[in-house]
Amino acid sequence: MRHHEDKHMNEMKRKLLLLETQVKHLSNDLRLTREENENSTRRYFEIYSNMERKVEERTAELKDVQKELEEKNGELEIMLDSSPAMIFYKDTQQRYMRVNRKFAEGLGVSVDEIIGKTTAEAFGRKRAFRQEDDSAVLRGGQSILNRLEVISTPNGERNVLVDRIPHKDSDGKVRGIISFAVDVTEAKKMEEEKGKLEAQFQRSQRLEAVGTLAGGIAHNFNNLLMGIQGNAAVMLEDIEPSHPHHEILKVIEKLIQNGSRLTRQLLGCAREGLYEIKPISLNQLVRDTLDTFGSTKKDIRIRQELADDLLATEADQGQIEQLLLNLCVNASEAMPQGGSLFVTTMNVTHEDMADKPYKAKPGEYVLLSFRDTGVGMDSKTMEHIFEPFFTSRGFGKGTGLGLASVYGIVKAHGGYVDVYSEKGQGATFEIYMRAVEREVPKERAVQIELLEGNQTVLLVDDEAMVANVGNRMLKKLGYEVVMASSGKEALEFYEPKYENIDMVILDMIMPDMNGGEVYDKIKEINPDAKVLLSSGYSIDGQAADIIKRGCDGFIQKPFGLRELSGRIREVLERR
Amino acid sequence: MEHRPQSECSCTDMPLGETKEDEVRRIIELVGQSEISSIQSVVSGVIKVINDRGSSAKDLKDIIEIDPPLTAKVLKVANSAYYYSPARISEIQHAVIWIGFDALKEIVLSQKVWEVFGKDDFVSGYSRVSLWKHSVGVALLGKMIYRREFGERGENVYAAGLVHDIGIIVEHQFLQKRFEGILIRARREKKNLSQVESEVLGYTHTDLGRVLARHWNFPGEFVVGIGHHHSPMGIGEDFSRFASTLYVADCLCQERGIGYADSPYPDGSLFRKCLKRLDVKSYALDLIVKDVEQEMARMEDQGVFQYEAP
Repeated sequence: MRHHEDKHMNEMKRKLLLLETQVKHLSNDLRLTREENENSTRRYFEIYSNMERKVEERTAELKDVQKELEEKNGELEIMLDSSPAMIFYKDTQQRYMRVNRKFAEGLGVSVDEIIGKTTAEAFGRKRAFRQEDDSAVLRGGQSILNRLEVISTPNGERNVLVDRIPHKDSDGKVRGIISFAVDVTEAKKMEEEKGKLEAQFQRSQRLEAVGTLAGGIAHNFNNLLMGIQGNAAVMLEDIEPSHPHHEILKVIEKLIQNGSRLTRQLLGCAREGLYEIKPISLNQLVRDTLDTFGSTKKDIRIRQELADDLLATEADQGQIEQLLLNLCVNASEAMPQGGSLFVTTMNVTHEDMADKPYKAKPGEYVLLSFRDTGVGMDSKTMEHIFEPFFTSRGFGKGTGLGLASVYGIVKAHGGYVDVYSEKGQGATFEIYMRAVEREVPKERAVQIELLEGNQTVLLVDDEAMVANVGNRMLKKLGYEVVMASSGKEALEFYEPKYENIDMVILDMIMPDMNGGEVYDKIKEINPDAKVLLSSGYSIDGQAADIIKRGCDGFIQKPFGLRELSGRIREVLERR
Repeated sequence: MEHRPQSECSCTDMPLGETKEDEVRRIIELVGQSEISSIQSVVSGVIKVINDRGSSAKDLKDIIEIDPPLTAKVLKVANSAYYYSPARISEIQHAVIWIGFDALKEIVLSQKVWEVFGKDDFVSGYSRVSLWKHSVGVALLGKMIYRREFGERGENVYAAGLVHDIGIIVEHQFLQKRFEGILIRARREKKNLSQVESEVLGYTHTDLGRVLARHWNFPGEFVVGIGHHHSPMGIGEDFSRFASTLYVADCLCQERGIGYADSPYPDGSLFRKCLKRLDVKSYALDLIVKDVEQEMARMEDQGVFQYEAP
């Protein structure tokens, strides 16, 4: 039993020792492992901090490089941004990688919002730079230069000239695309403006040439008409109204009047025919013309709205009458089925004309507006309506001189004319004439009777035919007539005998001396001399000039007996 | 009764008239020109890392990375199932972090030393691979004794354990014929290897190991430990425990059949004396050996011993 217990005790002791050893082993292991772990952790952090330090060093290096890069970038940025061209750089995916300030301003976007986007992403359906060309450059590696494109911008559509250049790396591989775009809208506009001005200049040259031509024709034509008129007039006075030729002569006179009107139109186009510039009341002329016109065109309703306080304008009354008549005729032709014509006058100033394409000279104007409800016209037609012999009414229907003469007359008076129209919407003509602060002289009563006299008249005309007709007409009216066929002859005759001569009828255009010179000489000889100018044509407003110098009157060839008698009486009775 | 080695076998390995000191010196010179010496820098480098408190993971990393084949081997082990790394470790730096600084030192040492043990040729119960397994066993066991019994890390014992039989390798390489004769005779006469070595060569593999360790400037405890791993008595206090531990571990591995056994006939009283000096109980050793055997088995399973032939 004792032995057994000993054995048991020994067994217990052995187990205890084993356990103790195991505990020792475990605790040693645990301690060492913990140490090792701590070591490892320490070393881990050592490595980590080494790495961190390295990262810091690299970061610092990177920062330096970055700073340098940024500086360089900044320089580049300044260069790019100060360029007047819109510059962009796209990568091969056609995304904007870089754009300069001008680009952003020009297209109304911020630089940030565009970077990394394609044109479609950035601009959607708006018109932007052509992507097809970008693709072509990226694909082909070839520059595409001087492409004219239209882009939408906050300032409307702009014309830009675009250069596209591929950016290649050292291997020649296309890496992106650099593009420069210059806004040429203004340049283009100027170019167009220049073209327009040139066209305008050409047109006015053409008109001037036509005018000169027309003037020359008008002069000869009027002399011819004068001859026919005079002879017919004398014949009419000689025969009884029951004579079978009486009616025929009346027809001839009528035809002469028509011919005379035609020459007046020609002179109007040529901006000639300004003879007697005097203050006139536009309202009065408008009323008279519309009365006459209205009575012949019953299917056109005329509405007048004339300013009561309308200022006077200085003009040649005959020409203004012609202008008004032309506008009436034009309106009626525009309204073949009838319609309404609105005519207004009012006072305006140059400030009211600020929106016009031309720059009106400062001052006061009277505005005459003719608005019809007719067929109207398109802009193409509108461009040409003031050209002589242009007509939209079909060949043979109009003379093609009506509106051209309106234009010529307005221009000759220093005024402006505008037209507004649309196809089917009627047309409005606006005429601006310079206003003057002067009284309109009282109209003389229109004479009906032939006014006869017995004074002596010196008739100066180089055209024998006209001179002969004049001679006859004057004699018919009871005057004593002395004739001279040139300025020189006239003066030679006039100087010694001026006391016996009551008045001079002076043709303006003569081969040796012109009317003006002769007039001046006559006035030198006799400051009280009475002179009536006659002409079929006036060069450079000579007639108006002579009248300004004190000439007593003017008579336009061809003239009839009644007109001649009236004018002579005016001159002789003037004191 | 002393055997003259020269008369025992007609060896051409040793020139006539050469003393054994001359011979050892000559062999050490030959080692210096052979691939064996290639392990010197790595092994002494790691030993330095082990013993220098100021050393860092970077020092270890530098030692490894200067040797590309070694780097590849270390990474292979680091990526083996044994360490179950979550992601492929492709840099020593990562291996340090994942496996740990200490484990990595062992891997480096074992991989490097393996380079000279790896050439297998089987002679009379000896093969380099079996010697290698023995060396790893001694290394592990020595380390475990240090850890569990002495509460120390035992890294030096591990390193010394790996190379304690380097003398056998040297003999095999440079005294091949005589070494084969020694193996056969030891087997036939049922003697321990060192006894036959002494009889034939006049010196033992422990002598060669000691001289080489000194030549390679290994620390003193290595020199003494390697030189006295069969005769741990009569050593100064400084290295006594180190050498005794190596001796005990060597004996235990042979007893347990871990790898090659050069001393199949242990001196029981010397062993007990050593245990007493170390103050280690035999049942404590039993516990440790069991764990080492398990660990060895696990390492083998997980492919840690699957070295490629150099």
